[in-house]
Amino acid sequence: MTKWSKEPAKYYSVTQKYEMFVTFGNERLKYAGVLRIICKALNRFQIR
Amino acid sequence: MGRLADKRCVVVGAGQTPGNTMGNGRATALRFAQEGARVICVDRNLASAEETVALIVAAGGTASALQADVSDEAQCQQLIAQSVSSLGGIDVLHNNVGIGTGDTGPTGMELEIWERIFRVNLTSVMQLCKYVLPVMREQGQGVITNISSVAAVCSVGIVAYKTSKAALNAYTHALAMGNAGRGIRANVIMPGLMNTPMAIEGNVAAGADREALIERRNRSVPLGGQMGDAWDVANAALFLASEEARFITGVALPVDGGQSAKIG
Repeated sequence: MTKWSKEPAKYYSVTQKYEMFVTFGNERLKYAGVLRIICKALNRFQIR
Repeated sequence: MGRLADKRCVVVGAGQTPGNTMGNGRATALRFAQEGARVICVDRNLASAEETVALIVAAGGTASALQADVSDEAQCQQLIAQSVSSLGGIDVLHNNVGIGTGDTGPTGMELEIWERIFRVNLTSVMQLCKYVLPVMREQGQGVITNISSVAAVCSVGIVAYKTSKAALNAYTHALAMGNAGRGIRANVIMPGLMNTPMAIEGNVAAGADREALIERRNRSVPLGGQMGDAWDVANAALFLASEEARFITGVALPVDGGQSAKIG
């Protein structure tokens, strides 16, 4: 098997970087959505 | 701006036989890095590739060391894939490996030695090209430089090495013609008598007197009666890899101080 001395950083093309950014953004939006639902629920039951 | 600025180069055989002088592969890797290339130094001996990387990094260049035995096809495939993953493509593949251990005349030749020399000197290049060509074709450009020897065209008594290098010249010719339309250049360098560790140390280990050997080799070189060194090969490789050679493909370039021109 081949073996790196010290594994170099993986190369990402501009397209790959964009896709990673979008994925990261979507993940954030998902969590933001969950947080929004929780906040709404808290608000509804007047929990402050 | 370097002559290989931001070029992604893989130098196979970038380590070297231990010795007082520098080997062709190490000098080429250093020269490429000096001119701005990002270099992956491949060698069967990882410590030796790491030494080359250390020299490159100390000089301000960028390089990584990768261990691979290119006589094994799976490792050739893997090293190309790993290089692409690390560099994002391959602009230059420089094939520098070669052996002649155990080689002899035609009547004393053992099949095992013949096959080993062919596997390392010729089959390894075929295997690496098999996997790098799809990458270069997709890029629409690339350079492959193979290190042969003037033994391919000059009179020498060792038949397996000579025949394998002559076959490497023919293979490179086929490679150049088959891929010219896709923007890929392929050339071969034929070093002559060089003062490199591989050329000297092996013979010294086999019992040759170092000074007498160097003297005899120097005498055989028409240009100034002196062997060449690794930098001569590295500079030729740099030229062929660079844009300066953009109209050059399918050539066998002797770097031999006129040895192959000495006819009759």
